[in-house]
Amino acid sequence: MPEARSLPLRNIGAAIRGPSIAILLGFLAAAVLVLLIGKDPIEAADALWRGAFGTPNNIAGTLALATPLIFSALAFAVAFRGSMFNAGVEGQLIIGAFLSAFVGFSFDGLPALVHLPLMLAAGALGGALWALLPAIWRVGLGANEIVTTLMMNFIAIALTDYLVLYPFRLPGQSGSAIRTESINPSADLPSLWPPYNVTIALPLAILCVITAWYVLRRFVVGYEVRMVGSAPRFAKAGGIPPGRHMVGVMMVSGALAGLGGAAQVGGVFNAFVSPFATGLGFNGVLVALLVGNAPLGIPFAAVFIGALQSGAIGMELTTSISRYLVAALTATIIIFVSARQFGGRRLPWSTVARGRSPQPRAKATDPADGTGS
Amino acid sequence: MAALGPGLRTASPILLAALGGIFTQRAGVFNIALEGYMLVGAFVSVVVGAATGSVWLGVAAAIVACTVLALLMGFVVLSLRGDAVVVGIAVNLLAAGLTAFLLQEITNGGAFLRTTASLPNLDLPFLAGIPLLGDLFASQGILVWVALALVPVIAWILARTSLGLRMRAVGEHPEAAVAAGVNVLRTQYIAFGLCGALCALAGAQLALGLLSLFSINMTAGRGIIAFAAVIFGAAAPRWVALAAIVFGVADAVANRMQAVGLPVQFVLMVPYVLTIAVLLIAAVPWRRVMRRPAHGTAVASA
Repeated sequence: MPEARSLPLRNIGAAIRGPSIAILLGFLAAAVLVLLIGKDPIEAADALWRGAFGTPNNIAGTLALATPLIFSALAFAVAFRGSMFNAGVEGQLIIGAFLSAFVGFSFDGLPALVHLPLMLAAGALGGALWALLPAIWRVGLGANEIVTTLMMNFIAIALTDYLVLYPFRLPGQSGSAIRTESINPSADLPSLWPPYNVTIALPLAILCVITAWYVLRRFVVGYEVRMVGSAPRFAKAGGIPPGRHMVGVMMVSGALAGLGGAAQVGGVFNAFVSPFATGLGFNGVLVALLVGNAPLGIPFAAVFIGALQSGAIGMELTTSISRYLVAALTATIIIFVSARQFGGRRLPWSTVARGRSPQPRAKATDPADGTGS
Repeated sequence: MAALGPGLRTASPILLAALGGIFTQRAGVFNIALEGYMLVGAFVSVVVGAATGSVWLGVAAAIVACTVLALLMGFVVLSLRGDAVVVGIAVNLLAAGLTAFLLQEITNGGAFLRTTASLPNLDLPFLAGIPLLGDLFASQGILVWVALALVPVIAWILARTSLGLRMRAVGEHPEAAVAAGVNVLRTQYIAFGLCGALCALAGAQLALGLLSLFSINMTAGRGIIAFAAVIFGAAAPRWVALAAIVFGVADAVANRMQAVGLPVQFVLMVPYVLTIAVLLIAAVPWRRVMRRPAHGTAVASA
């Protein structure tokens, strides 16, 4: 694995080269598309840049969009390093967000110093619990976690939609976006850069990234998790309990996703709104994949994707090129990245094999994949 | 019974996409990009149908476009060894972004494109005459019939043709398939192509058969429900078809409940909850569970 080498600078060079090529190819494809519809790609790129970084307002918008992506990408990456494919980041984020909003508006008169951590903890707890079920199903029964986490997303969406529409409905609202009552000011995440939405969630996200990186790299448990992920047979032979690590890593993953949801509630919406996370979880997956699930790369990739999204709005306003171009661009980049990562040089990731021969039925009856015990 | 007729209608896109998903699942690939293929199929069928005035040209163009898209995804997954789930997420995003982008180019920033053309209905008098079931079969869209007819056809392909045999071998035991001289890559590419073509029909049925329009992200998770049906039915055509129809009926029931103001969320959960439940029930080692108490009493009596 790359991080096992001792030359950090060479690692960074190699880590940057791949995504850069993919990003370049993605932009080329998008430029061709813009040319085909008879518009100027240079002008579009300029508008995109100004939309993302042109004014302090736009820079703040980019950072505000990047913050939840750091959490959701880290959530996916941590699980992935421990051999779990968490396709349910979106649902965990939503459940975490709802629980944090509930704590945010239910408690009155708490000092912010107590209320804020409580709200964030509620978010983390909600996400962790939502991730716990698929983890147990995987470890206990061998039920493929890709499918169960994916399905849990839609259950989370429907469940919170119900909660917002019926038990927690604020009277007198109509329309497509329904919200709960607002959280108390003591649960508001303070802004680092008033009046913008750049809250203390951003440094908190970066702190989580550094912690995850350090634990994976320097702690025994991090080593064990990485071994379960990259060399399950070696890990088993060495007496590392794979099942316990899989459950643990999924709960950490869910907790991070839930923190992302809490950050959205406390920093952006000040309530739970339904629909809540339209694509935050899945975009987080893309952010993590862009940097090969390396925690330290995630903040940069998140700012990149955040900049694309915030720039797209500016581009649509000034050049009348649809903002959806950016979704297609992001998808193209990820397709190039995934082709690079799994082609040519084979990285020892367990999902290389899993992506190619996933047989849920075979898996269910085959205890030899190291998860049955 | 009254909900079954509209239920079959709403189920038909899910059924067609799920039938496509059977091929890739049998060939050993987790394909969550059914959603993206369907969306592209819906878009192309509406745009070409509106431009040429012929729904059949629209359907044909959708089949071509989706087959090409599925084969491209197959290239990334099979030849470039991309992770199928990751590439699937990306293809879904690509389909959503590209169709919305092109739609807004065509309509100058609009959110939907209407078409006057729609797929014709087909009455099968001998079926409509059946007591009780007659209502169910009265005047369904032509692709509904195609979908229902494809269920036994696909079961036959999988069970009785050499292509089906190869496909199952590749999915269940790739090494054995290679040893037996099966061209694994070619078989998997064929599975992707067939999957794309069927998802094109699914998209066309949704856009031209049911709604006569294309709107941004109009599939709204139907492809994921189709994927759930494939998992639910363990890629066996009749069970997948049953699951797809049940999920479609749930959708129709939800629509009716919404109209009268009842909470629909728990009905909307049904496909996902059922799929997880079936996955878990299938994963329990029943034989061991059943044997254990018998063993225990034997020890106790001895």
